[in-house]
Amino acid sequence: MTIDMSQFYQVFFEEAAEHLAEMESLLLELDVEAADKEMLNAIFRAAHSIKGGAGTFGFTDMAQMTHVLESLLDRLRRQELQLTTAMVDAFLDAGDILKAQLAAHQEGGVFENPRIAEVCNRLERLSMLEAEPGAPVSPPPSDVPRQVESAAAPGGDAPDCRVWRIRIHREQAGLKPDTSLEGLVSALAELGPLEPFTEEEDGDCLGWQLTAPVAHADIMDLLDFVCDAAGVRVESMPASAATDEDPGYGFFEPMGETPGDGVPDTDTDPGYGLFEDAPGAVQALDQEHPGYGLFGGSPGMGQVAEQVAREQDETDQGFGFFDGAPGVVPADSSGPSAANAGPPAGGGGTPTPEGGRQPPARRTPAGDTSIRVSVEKVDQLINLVGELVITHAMLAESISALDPVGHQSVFNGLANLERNSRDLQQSVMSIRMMPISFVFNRFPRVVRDTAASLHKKVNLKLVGEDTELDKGLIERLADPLNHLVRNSIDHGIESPDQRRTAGKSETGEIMLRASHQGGNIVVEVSDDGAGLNRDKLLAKAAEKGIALPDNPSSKEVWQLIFAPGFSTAEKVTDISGRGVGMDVVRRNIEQMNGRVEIDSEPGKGTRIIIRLPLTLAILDGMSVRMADEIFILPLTAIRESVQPRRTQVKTVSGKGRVFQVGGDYLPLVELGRLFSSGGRRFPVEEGIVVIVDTNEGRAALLVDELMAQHQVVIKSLETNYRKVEGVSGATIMGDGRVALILDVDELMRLNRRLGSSMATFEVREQAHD
Amino acid sequence: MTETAKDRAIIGSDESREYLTFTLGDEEYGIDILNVQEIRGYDAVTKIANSPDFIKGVINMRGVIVPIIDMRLKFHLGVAEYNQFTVVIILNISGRVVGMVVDGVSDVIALRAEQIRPAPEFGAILDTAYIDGLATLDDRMVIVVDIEKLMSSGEMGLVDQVQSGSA
Amino acid sequence: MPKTILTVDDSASIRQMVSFTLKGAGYTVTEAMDGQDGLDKARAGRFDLIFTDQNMPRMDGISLIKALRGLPQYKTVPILMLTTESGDAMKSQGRAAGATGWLVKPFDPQKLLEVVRKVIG
Repeated sequence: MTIDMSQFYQVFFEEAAEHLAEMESLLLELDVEAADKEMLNAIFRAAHSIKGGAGTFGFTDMAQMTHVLESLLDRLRRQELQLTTAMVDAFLDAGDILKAQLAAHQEGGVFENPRIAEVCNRLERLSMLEAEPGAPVSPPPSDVPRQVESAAAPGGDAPDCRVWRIRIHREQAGLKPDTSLEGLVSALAELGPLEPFTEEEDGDCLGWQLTAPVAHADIMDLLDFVCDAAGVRVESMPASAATDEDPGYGFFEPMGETPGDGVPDTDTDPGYGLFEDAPGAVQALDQEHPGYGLFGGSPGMGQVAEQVAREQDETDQGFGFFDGAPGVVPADSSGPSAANAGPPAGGGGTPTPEGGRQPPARRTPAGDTSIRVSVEKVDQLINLVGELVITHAMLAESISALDPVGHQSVFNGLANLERNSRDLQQSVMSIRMMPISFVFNRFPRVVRDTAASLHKKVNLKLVGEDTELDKGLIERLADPLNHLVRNSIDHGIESPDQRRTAGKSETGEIMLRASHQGGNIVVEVSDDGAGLNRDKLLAKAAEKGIALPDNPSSKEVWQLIFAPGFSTAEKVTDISGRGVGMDVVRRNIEQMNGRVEIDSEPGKGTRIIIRLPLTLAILDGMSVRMADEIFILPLTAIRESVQPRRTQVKTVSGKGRVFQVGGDYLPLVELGRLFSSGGRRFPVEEGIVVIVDTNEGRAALLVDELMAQHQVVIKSLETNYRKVEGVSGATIMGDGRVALILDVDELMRLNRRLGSSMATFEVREQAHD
Repeated sequence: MTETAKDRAIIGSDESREYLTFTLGDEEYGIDILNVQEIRGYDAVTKIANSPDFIKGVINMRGVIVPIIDMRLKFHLGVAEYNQFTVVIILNISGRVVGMVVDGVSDVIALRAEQIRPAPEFGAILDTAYIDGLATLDDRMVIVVDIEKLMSSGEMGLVDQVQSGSA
Repeated sequence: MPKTILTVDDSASIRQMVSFTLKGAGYTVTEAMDGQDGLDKARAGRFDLIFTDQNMPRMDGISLIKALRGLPQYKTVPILMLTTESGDAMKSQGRAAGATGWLVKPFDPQKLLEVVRKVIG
């Protein structure tokens, strides 16, 4: 029977990806100083599972990599070695390689990269480090090299492909400084791949690493020709991945067979054998076959014996019995089996899991409680529900003229329809909601890698990972957040030295926090670093020719970092100096109808606050009228509305008109002027001023009239038309007409461009006539 | 097999296509009917600020926001009046839906490829770049327009010309 | 009546492979995703043969075997360990727990069938 293994590949791919993700997040959580045994166990298990699957399905490169990984992990969880940061780094790198290998297999290819060998070697080197005193049960591998330092001929070398480290001390080996070793090198190279390696401390030492299926003695024989054995060390490296294919190889002996101990490794077991420690024939004997074995006399062997006997009968008689015939009594249920059963588990058969074996709750497979649906289908549903809501609004508007008394049932029905369609809309929207952890989860790694490359110490704190928001927003939030976090580490967090001098802990902290605030989601990136430098920012602004008010508020100064091409870094680093500036971050956030605020205190840190709508599909807004057009102003932008007086409006040269509220002068944005179609002017006091929050601070938006509050379905103008400045989208009102949704940040920019000089504006107007 | 291919080629050239004709000023234009989604009246257009005057604004067409272009304004043809007789041709140009206000819709005609002759340089309202050719039908001359090309052109300002910004 | 086999492994792909192979050979197969799940399913049903992985969350293979041997109905049922190691430590541990035998991972479907046929036919 031939079985096509490829049918299981997909499951393996998904499973391996999950294990890799789990491994990475555990590694990042791991406290190097006090590694949690359970976490190490869980990491080990993840690597182990990948190895098992990879081996079974023939992805040998992954099996080899996980084997090396697993060997070191095993020594760690057995507390034979002390966890170090270097190990965590190596594990993470190995995880990256496994991911790449997995990705390559998914596309039917193979990931080939010199990094694979490098990481393997690194892991192997790390597992050779000194063991913790007193811990090991089996002899720690670190002892082995010492044992073989002498040239004593080892016995029982298996012809496995091994990695050998050959070191020659020129002086001790009786070599003259000018002795050529070319002959030796080429002789060694004939055995297998040979790589020179250098000992860190000892310049007098020559070293090579040889991967070859040779015995210790073979190498020594070669060396004997040229040098004195006293100056030679030949060590076997921990079993390299190459030995993984050996079915009998296990992680209990990460060093593999040690040359010199003379005991054949389990690798060389013929694969099966028979023990005679119990009465009876077949069931009493240990059977070892290639790749599997049966314990003689163990429980269950009675059945095996029966089976063998039956087979015997079948062969002899040429016919068989039906399986499972009633009355077949399992043979020999007491006696030897009980004797061999070892300590029985607690009476009554209650399982007692080994202490400390239980990892924190593992996700239960979703199985049949969830289904996969394409995002398009969900979006189609959302659109249809949006239409339903609009249809309802239109219906409501057309019957509003009816007399409620005579049409009670119609009004009641309509009220029900409204409630149901709102509920439906919310349920449908919730399908698209995902916890922000989907984007937060990548940051432990980002922080770790970024901090390491900048030689800074940074802790990441995640708060509110369960906060849900629209899938589309999650995807679009990743890049800006990534930039902000890297930026915080690069420019915010000081070096450990600087922090110590400033009386802070050497380790900085970056916090990512998500929360719901009203109809918004707020994502904060904060650090406890140096904070923004006001003077530096102002100097830079002057240098770049960015205009600022005479006495700019902190907020205005901080906002400078979002100006195009503005960077406060003294030198451009590869971390944040990638040509993508904070202006791009701001633009990205604005495209999601969100806004960015900045708060900073010198010496204490910087906090960047991103406010986003919960979803891209609906919006809470206020309808405002300008002439005979209706616009929607997002509720999130509105602070208050003010009945303006003529005296509140002032003209500041070069800045256009401003509006005075309390002691503040806010830029006056006259919607009628920006969006003028007829150029009609009316006295200020006939309109109403809405104080709005923009990226550039507060502003006063002058409209004709405030109408009503609505929840509107956002429609894109770009589907059939194009981007319109000052407008983020459109919606359909109750009367079926289209209303444009205002974008206050763009209005500010438009205002500055069009409104700073009336003359320009009028010229433009004439051009259209 | 070669024969069938040849046959098909002959049929192909013989086969006529349908065109919707409309009037703009004194001229009659024809567009491929496959680009026409529907014909409707003109109502409830929401103006779009700071856009060229021939872009009248957007309408709601069963939940879809559709821009409306007045070809009469675009090509400076007399007075653009909007009343119950004003006709909007809703076009579907490679998935984008656009409404086009014209003076009037006259006919659906079938034209064979050989009936459409190359257009000489002439003083039509439309740039010859957007004209496929001329067809004569009885005593009428129909200007066959490549409406896809025209509507996607920068001149109409219907699409963002710099696409990078929308990513 | 076909023989029933329980396969306990936290790796879904291995589980599926085992299950597919054995089902193809006419056995009835039940899958369990870890030791605890395996024990629960073993208690709820009766199996002629049990395969268990060693390294699993919640309950490992050795603990599962010990627990199963404590149940009257599984005193003599063959239990095979699926393991990536075939060292003596594993063997003595397995034997002590009451395992009937072991099968080294990675294995191919043919090998699996060979073992199953040997054990239960």
